[in-house]
Amino acid sequence: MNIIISSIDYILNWSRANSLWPLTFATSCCGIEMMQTVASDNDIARFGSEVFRGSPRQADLLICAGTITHKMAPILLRLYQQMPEPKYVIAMGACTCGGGMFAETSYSVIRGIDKIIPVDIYLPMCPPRPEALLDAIRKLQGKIKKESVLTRKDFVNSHKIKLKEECGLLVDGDIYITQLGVNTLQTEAGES
Amino acid sequence: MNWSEFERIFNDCELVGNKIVIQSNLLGVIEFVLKEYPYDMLKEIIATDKGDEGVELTYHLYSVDDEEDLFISITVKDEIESVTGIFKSAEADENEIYDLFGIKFIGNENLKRLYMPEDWEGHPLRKDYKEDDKRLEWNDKQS
Amino acid sequence: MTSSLRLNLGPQHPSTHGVLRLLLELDGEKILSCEPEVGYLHRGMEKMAEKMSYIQYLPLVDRIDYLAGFFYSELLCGVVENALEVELPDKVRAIRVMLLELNRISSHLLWIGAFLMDLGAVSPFFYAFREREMILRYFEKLTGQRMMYNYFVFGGVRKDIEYLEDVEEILSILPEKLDDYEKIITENPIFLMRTKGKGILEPKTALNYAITGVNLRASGVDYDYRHSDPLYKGFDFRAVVMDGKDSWTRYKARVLEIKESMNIIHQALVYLKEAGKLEQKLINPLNLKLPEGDYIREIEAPRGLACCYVKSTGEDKPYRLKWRTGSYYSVNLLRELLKGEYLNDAIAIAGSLDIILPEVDK
Repeated sequence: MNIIISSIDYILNWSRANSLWPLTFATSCCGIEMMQTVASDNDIARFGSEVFRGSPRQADLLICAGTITHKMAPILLRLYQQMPEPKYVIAMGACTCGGGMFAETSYSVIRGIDKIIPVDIYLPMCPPRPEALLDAIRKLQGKIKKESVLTRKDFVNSHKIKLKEECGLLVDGDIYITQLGVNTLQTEAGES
Repeated sequence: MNWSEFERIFNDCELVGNKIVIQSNLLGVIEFVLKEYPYDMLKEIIATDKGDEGVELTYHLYSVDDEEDLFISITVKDEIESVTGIFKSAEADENEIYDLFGIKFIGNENLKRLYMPEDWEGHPLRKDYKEDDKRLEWNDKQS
Repeated sequence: MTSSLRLNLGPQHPSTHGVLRLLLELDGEKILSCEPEVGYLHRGMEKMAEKMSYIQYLPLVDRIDYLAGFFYSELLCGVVENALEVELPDKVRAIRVMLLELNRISSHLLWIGAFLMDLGAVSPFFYAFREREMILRYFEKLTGQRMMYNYFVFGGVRKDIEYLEDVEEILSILPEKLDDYEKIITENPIFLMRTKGKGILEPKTALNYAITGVNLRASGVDYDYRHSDPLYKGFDFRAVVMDGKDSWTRYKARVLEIKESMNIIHQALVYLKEAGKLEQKLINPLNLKLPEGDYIREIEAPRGLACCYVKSTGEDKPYRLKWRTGSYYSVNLLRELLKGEYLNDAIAIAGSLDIILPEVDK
């Protein structure tokens, strides 16, 4: 079965990997290094990211650049759910990988965004150089080229959102939560 | 400024350097000071938690023509009058102090939390703040 | 009869100010009222200072305004030096002033690129970032980092200054590039139609809302803290005060400030080439205890006046530390400035005030 599918796999993966269009999502200092990567000295357009889309319904890569706080978390979750499949996430900067400089003593920073959404590539440094961001995009392209149409179900399952039950938030299966509050839960019908 | 006239009218105040410490009647003092001497802008309002005595608020006034600073300081427990009728920049400062310290300002129509989410429990910058909101349990769980 | 439309200009939008949320109420395309909401980037910098000593807190301070990292480092070092009554030698002052003015130029260049991208012109974004890259490469050769420098310490600087020929090259290339930008931007008819006469800020309103910096000087009030700052003693410059009060005047004032900064850097370079070796007395940062009392230090940052207030009770951690920043009061001003304008003009006016969100949500 694999022999028949392999050329379809090759074409699909090649076309997805070489035209990743990111979403403009920059919260903090890492956003300036992302802008510096778009400018003319280090050009991201030669790797396929020709434009940065403004709306999440037209993008397929989310580069999360900047610190995420408790007030911003429901908005990040809502943006991730609005993106169509297949979608990928790069966690850029030390604050998104595990809390960064604020991990010991701050009262309002989330220690790493992989507690909320599933992450594909982690990129530490504070802030990462433009060459480091280009290296992360190359590694993501290598990861995409190893996928296959037959393992599509595993891919979708591993990219579903699983939040912690003990923290009073959410559920499993097909129901996704979009409003994170302490006492009220509002659920929406999920798309699988 | 005319200090002898000032001390005659408001007799429970002290002068230390260029800082005045008063006990009550904040609006009256500010209106008197603005009539005597043209202070133009209120640069900031600084709040410090002093434990059992309450929260000390310091108002930092400045005059552009003569380049002079003045500090007026008062200690409150729960509520105080708002100065948004005189200086409009105080709206943002007073919302921040209500959010982080819990002091209410009478006369400010837009009083709401500025930095923390609307349903957060507690006032973070107080010295006796215990981190007991439910969302803070995320910090210990494995991802 | 007709009800108004409520529009949410949400925290994620493709302009470069950060995470600012505006709740607008519209009647057709005219704005009836505007309510800004902040706090999506509040990291708790002031509470963290009460749990750390002064030298542990120093690397964190660059992240308050990432485009002007040297200014906030200088504020914290200045407070400690004021408290212990330490005088800086002349060579240290010249090094600090030269690096501060280079940082001001790079911050204004990024503002030019971002403001014109908000209006729809994409080419100046690439030109401005090309010049900014030259300045960042010099900082990387000197301090090892492109954005968060951590180069000033209590009492002086970490090591002697080097590679002065790179600064000369920057000063020789920049003037003709600035003239190129002025030829295509300043008298452009579309730019004039979108910015002249829009967003008028009267001087009395500006003082009542506690606005400082370029926004105040473009309305006619002459207030520049650098003239009474002990760090700038001996340098000869003049403040840029203009009389137009609208968005076009704020753009022109920032371009003229870049030229004044180049003048100050030239004076510092002439001094540094003849000065001898660096001799400084650093304050020992381990177990550093400030005497009891209140200390304050102010500086003229690119976005307004910035202050740091420290209250100490004699221990090695501060009892209370507070920051005052320039953009905090500009966000408050948007409530009044956007009433009665059309929606397209609102984006241009909010961009011309130069707001950066980490300064608002410390």
